Amino acid sequence: MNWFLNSCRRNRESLCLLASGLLPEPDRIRIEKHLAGCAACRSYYDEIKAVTAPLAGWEKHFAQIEPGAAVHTRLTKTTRLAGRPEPVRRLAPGMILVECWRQLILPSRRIWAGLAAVWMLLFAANASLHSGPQTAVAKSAPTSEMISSFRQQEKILAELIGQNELRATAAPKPFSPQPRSQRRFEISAV
Amino acid sequence: MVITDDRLDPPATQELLARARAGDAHGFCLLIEPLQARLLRQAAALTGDLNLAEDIVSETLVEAWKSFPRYNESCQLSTWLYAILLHRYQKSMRRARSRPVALALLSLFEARDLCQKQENIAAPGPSPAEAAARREAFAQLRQCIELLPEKHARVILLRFFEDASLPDMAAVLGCSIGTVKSRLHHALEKLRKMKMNLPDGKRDIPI
Repeated sequence: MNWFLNSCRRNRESLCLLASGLLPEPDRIRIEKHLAGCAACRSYYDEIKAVTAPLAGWEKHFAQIEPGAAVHTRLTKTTRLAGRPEPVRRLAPGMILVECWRQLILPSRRIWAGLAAVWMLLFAANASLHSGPQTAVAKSAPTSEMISSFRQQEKILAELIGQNELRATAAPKPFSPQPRSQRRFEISAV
Repeated sequence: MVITDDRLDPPATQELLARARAGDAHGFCLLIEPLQARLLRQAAALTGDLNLAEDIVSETLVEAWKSFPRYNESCQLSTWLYAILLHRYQKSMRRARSRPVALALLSLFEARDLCQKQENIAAPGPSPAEAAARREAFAQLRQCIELLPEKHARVILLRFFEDASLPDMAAVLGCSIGTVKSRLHHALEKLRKMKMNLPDGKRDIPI
């Protein structure tokens, strides 16, 4: 919020571009007008300029370095011996995914951190879902109301079971085993 | 002095580009010949060691030749070459960091030696003391850039060592112009803070 309200802070990127010689003309005029009236921005610009000026003049320190004939020959010879250039490969659709994995996902720390965070969230949600009810049952002691309702249910169940037993006794299954002698008779008759 | 492929003769460049694309190594060598000196200076500024710089330039040219069909002229040839050079340099630095003896530190010491050697060369313009102070300031900034994250260091090096424009940097880095602006701002902000944390005597870098 402070950054949004403070116009000088918003101008810092433009000041860096100005010190690097990359600010386009209309923006340059606007920033230079602002610099003329703002001491804080002028001080910041001077500090950035103190960094960029030695870098901009780097080539003066290495002006005497010129590749001699030997170096030039060596570089040319090495290039010629390197063989023919590799043709541009046209990737198959499957290989595009592999290349995407190799170049974008595999080296990206942020993607791996995101995946790890998602996995941790899923793990935490899963753990909380599974362990929640069990721990609640284990921790809560049965109240007297629960015990009384349980006993009532027990009575109802007992009554139901008793009725079933009565029904079972009211209609007994007819069972009349035949004596062995009669069975033998049946076999011999057949 | 800035030498870019703007200085190349455009019709000749187009012809050489076509020859290089067709697989003519001689055409490629002729195409990059005017850029070799600057590439070597850029590598020397990065490594601080002339022999290492030559090796990296050699690797860069081989890689550029091998992958030349992929150069689509979305940026200047010199910027494309410098991006490959940066890639090779950062790869060699990573390799050096994994070794027991830090070649990174060695190259910095050699950079100081190089600066001291340069002091002996009489150059017109500022006094020797002033020139030495500037070189010291440059060496300090190089050390600070080494401490930046790779994406910030790349933007700084492309802008100041290669003089690349915003669209060229965006094309080489594979991101939007807005991202390049944001990275440049953050990188300069970090360098400014690093400079503010330097001891008082070393803070006043002459411009």
